[in-house]
Amino acid sequence: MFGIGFTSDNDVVNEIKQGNEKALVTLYKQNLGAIKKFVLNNSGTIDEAQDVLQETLIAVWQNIAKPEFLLNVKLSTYMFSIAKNQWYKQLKKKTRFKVVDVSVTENFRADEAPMLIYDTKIVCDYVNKLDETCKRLLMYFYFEGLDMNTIAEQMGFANSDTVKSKKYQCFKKLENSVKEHFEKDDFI
Amino acid sequence: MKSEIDKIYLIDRFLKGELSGLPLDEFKNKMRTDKEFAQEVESQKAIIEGIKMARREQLISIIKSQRTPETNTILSKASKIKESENTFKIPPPIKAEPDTEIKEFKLRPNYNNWHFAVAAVLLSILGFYFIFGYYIPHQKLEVAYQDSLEAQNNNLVNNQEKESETTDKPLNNDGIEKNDSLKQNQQLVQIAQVDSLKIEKDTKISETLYSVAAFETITPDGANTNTNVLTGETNDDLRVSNVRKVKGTSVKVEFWQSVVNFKGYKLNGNKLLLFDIKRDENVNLKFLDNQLYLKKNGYYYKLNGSETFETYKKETNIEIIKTLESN
Repeated sequence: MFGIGFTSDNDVVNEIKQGNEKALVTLYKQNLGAIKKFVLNNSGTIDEAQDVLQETLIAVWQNIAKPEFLLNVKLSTYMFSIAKNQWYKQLKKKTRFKVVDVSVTENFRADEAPMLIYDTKIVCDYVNKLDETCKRLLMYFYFEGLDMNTIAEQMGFANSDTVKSKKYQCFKKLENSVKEHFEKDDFI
Repeated sequence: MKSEIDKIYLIDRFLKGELSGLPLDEFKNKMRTDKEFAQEVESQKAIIEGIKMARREQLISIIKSQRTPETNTILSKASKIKESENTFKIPPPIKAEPDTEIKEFKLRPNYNNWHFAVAAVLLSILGFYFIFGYYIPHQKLEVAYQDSLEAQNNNLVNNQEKESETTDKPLNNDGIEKNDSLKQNQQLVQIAQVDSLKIEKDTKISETLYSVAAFETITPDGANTNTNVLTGETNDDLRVSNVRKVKGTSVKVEFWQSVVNFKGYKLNGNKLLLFDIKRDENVNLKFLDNQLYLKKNGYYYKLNGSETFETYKKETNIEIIKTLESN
């Protein structure tokens, strides 16, 4: 199926549901022109168009990966509608930043967003240090939102219980290394 | 351990927003009363955010590998970042971190493809050689050849006109007409000069209309056959033949000088081209039994009609030579 390209929208959706990243490349190539044109025609730059496309792809990827996702329109139409929303959101943000004072913004953010216990970037580094199976399993579960059965099927585990157990092990492994890192920091 | 797995799973469900009703109320209540539990929820949330970020970066790197770097966009991005830094103190978005590194692209020669460069150079040299070493000189040669052909045609036309004027003129004793155009034709040198390029061709020295005498042998029945009385055999060597003069024919003779010193002739109908005959050389033509013979320097040569050029072949038949000599 791969190598030549996907024949239909359903193929792309199925491949995304299985976590095949080549589908992402196909989506990128298929929608680059239309989204770029849209952003450029709406007072955006080429670079902003690339960013919008990137965000759209991530959003589409996450949405399609969900087990309950059903494609009712053409995939390109679906992509385009998400890209439009992404760009309008960005435009709104642009105008808001122009009128809102810096200090106000900082205060607002401090109040609204609760501080996380661990720095996300550091956690991210430790995720990348995990072995491939653990990394993939945790990503499939938390980012794509795949259920245990689908993960078992994708990764060749015996059943969903095995996945649950493996996932716990991987999570604990990650948590311990992160904890260890921050405990060291506390001593310093 | 089972309870630990279930606890993490429960927190996952809460964070995903999958809890509702009583389980959700119980969960929230526990978070309020149990500080340690609340801490655990917060740390799990942070770890999940880290996992999501790692996956996101992974996907972004795949998308970025598809991007074609455009210098202007990189520059515009750089200027945009700078501008935003000066105007607003916005915390940099997490996703933008790997992006802020501005890639530098330098144009470097690719030495891996050196063989293509060598092939290109060789092809260029061949091309130049073909154009300047062959094509242009060949074109000039062709022009020169065309010019020489034209000159030759013009001369032939002139000669034909003059020939028609001279056909009525009287013949001298040898049957050779004194042609007025001889001097002109002697100067007919087919050398074309185009840009110092000379092409030398065969030269027509002169042409003359000969009135050639014709003879035929008469062999009376039985009169010239000697029969041996004893054996009854006939002896052809002893045959006696008579020759009588018949009506002569005009032959147009052209004298040519060959560039490659060709010695021969070409007889086509009543037109005879003779090569390598000097101007002062005494030549004579005779027909015997419809066969043309050329007398040159005391020798007889048999001339056969042909479309191609032939070499001079001496006549060796003594009978024929005697017959030609006696008439």
